[in-house]
Amino acid sequence: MFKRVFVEDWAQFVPFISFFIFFTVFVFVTIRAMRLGKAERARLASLPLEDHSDHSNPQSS
Amino acid sequence: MTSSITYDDKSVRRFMIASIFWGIIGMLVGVVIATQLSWWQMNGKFLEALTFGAIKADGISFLTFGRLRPLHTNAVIFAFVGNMMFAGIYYSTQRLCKARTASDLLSNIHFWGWQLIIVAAAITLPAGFTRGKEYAELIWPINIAVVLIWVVFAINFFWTLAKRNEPSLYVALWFYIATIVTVAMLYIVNHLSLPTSFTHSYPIFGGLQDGLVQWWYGHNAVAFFLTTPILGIMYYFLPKAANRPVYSYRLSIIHFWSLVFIYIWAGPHHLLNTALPQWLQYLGMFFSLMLWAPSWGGMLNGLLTLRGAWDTLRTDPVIKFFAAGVTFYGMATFEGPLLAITKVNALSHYTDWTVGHVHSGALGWNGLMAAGMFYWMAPRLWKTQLWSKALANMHFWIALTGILLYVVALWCAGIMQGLMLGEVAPGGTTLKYEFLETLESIQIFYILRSIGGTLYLIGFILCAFNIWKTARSGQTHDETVQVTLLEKKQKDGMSWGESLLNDPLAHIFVAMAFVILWFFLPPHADKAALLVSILLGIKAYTAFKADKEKWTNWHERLIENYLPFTVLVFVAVAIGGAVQIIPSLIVNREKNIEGRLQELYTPLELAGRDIYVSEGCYNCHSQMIRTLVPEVMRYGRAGIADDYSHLGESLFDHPYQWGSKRTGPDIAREGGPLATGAKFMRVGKRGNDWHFNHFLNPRQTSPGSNMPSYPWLFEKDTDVKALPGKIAVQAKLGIPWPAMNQHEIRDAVETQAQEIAQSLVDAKVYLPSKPDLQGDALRNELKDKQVVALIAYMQKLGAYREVGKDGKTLPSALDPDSHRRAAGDTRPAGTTNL
Repeated sequence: MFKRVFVEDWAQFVPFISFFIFFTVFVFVTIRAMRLGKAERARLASLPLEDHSDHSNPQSS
Repeated sequence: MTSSITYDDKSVRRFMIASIFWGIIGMLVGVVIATQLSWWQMNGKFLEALTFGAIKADGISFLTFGRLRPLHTNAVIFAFVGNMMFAGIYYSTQRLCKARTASDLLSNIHFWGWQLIIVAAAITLPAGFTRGKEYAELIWPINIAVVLIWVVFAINFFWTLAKRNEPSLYVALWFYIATIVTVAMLYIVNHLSLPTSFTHSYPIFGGLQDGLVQWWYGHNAVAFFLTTPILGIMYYFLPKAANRPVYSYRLSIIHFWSLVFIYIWAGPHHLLNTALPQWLQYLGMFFSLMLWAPSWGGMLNGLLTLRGAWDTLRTDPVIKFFAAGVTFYGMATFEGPLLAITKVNALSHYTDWTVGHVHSGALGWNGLMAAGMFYWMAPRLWKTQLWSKALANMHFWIALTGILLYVVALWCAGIMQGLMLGEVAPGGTTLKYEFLETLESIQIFYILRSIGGTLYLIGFILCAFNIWKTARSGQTHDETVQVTLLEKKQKDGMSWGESLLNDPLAHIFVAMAFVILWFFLPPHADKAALLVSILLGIKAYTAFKADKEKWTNWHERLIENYLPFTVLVFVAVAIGGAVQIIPSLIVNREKNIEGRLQELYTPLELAGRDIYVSEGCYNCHSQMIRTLVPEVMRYGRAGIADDYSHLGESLFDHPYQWGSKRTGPDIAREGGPLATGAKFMRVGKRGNDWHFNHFLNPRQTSPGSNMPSYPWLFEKDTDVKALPGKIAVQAKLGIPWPAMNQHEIRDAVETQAQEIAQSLVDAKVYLPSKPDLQGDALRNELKDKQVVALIAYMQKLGAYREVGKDGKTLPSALDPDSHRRAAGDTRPAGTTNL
């Protein structure tokens, strides 16, 4: 009986634990993102635009 | 040092062409099956008119909804979006890495292997070879091929990352990494099976476990096959098309980590209001609701990238497609969490609302993003101009009209049918509408949906024509660029210790572990765990204060090191799956069942079940009465309390067959008790002759039904020879079959088949292929037919026995049964209900 109660009780905590883990990761990532330097942000964001040696440059866009 | 690099654009062209080709096939099949819901003749009868009577059949096996719907979903997901995704990944990864794809040989194996898999699927699925699990229907040899080809793709991708000439991994590459790692994990776990032959296997999971694993996979197939790679494509191609960087790189970081962390937990929202344990239902709902934030963050980041470039929306079809595609991403990811709220789900689940939701994602998000990417890439891949902007614009407006017509029609159909099914008649003791009445009332929406789908298909055919003409007007072109070669020490220099045991980071992880222990440890030990976690938190803070740079640089260093990054992504996605699935694997076993325990099938019933799975009946019929009053009123039995479907009732079902859509009614309680004087034969809600006539011509027994006719079930014999092998495999999976040799199995089949066939003869049925047969001759002809095995299975559905606990303190199945018992239901254990 004890085990049954134990099993069912801990299961009720899982959503809260899951949320807690996520929240910690979220806060961590958000702080990290906010502290990212402006120059580094600009460099990383422009990576897709760097491959401009393609001179075919068709009309689309 | 610089070097000249020529990108492998041949692979990109191939994948793009394959995507367009398979996309048209997949959408065409989709239109066909949509019309089947309005006109049953589309299941094969229509060929009679097309061939002027040369082909005569009320239904053709490989054209029925049950077999074609898996072909449609697999074609659209794996063939259309799969090939599109590979085209986008191969194109953008090379350019973001400033390196040619690592191996042309692996690229070739990847391309041709994937196409062979698709061809194999296109042959086996209509032939009825299936595992019976949605989006995971392919048989085990094809599953192995998929895994092997995926590994080839992964090696080629990561090898390219290792060879890159750009130190930082752009955010698009993160999404590709998450896709590769997570899809591999999901696909392997959900396809674990034991083969019984070259074309058949049983999943190793059964019942609830199978349902949980299936929707952990199914939901995340949407997340990591249909969403994350396309988000990577969005983050690369949208800035390219708009010629400006992504709106917020910060937001893209938060978007990525939040999305990969949350998405994996949301699978149980596909099983809301079922007998699934409450904590899993809450878990699915909470995390689905949390998905709103990162999804909309990503959508806004995409749309705001177009700031200052909105004027091009009028003139540039690529921007049109991307803007509309990202908007549909936002709409679909708003609707998804909405449908995951238990009360909304009570109305929407099993109806066409869900189907509409899926298509707003597939047609709106995937389809429009694919078209935008194709129109952008084609001129570059063939070094020319897009053949016709006007045609591309026409494609856009036809597609948009088609999607809106489709989605709105299914909103109306789903909500209307859901409300009608739950409506109680005046007096409050019965339901107002029969199932068929609700089906008939939504027919107009089904027709509108078919028109919407047809419009979308026409649009895509225009796209194919435009791309073909574009290719014809130019010549194949592999881009060559000059790049500065990166020295080895400039990338991937982070040690494992630095990446995972970093000084405040490690403290944070250990502190989190102690907080979790705080929940579980006994009194006093729990307080100690909390204290330790606080101390670790303080230690982490002091470490952070002492060396801020070390900490703040960690993430930047991480994105310059693809292996530690990949490991962290895997940890993030693996946690969610483990927490959901492992408790169920441990606890939900026969020995722990308290309450209803499924009766074992007889050999003939097992054969019938395999036919049920093979015909894809689960595509339209559920076997799960949800814990909702109208459901129990409609499908439960009179006078039996709590007659929803309990977990123990499907414990031995490999695969589980709870279903996800009810085009027909639920059949969980279709069966019944043993017939008087019979050794095996059961009779349930309806007689054997009713089922016989129903499979022959559903309109005869259920006027207005859109179910296909199954004339081949009356001609093909049941595969009895395969049964000993199948039963042996089931026994290995833990199903407590009694010891039987092949003769005993054959005898049991013969006895039950004779009993059913005799009951059919007594009811004066006739065999269409031999209408003159009567009496013993008819019985002997019928007993071997597949229809008899299928009837045996139908009459067994819902059979269970009540079991009690023997006093041992074993963990219980996490089943609402136990809550019911705790609430005072004291019915004696061992009561047989059927």
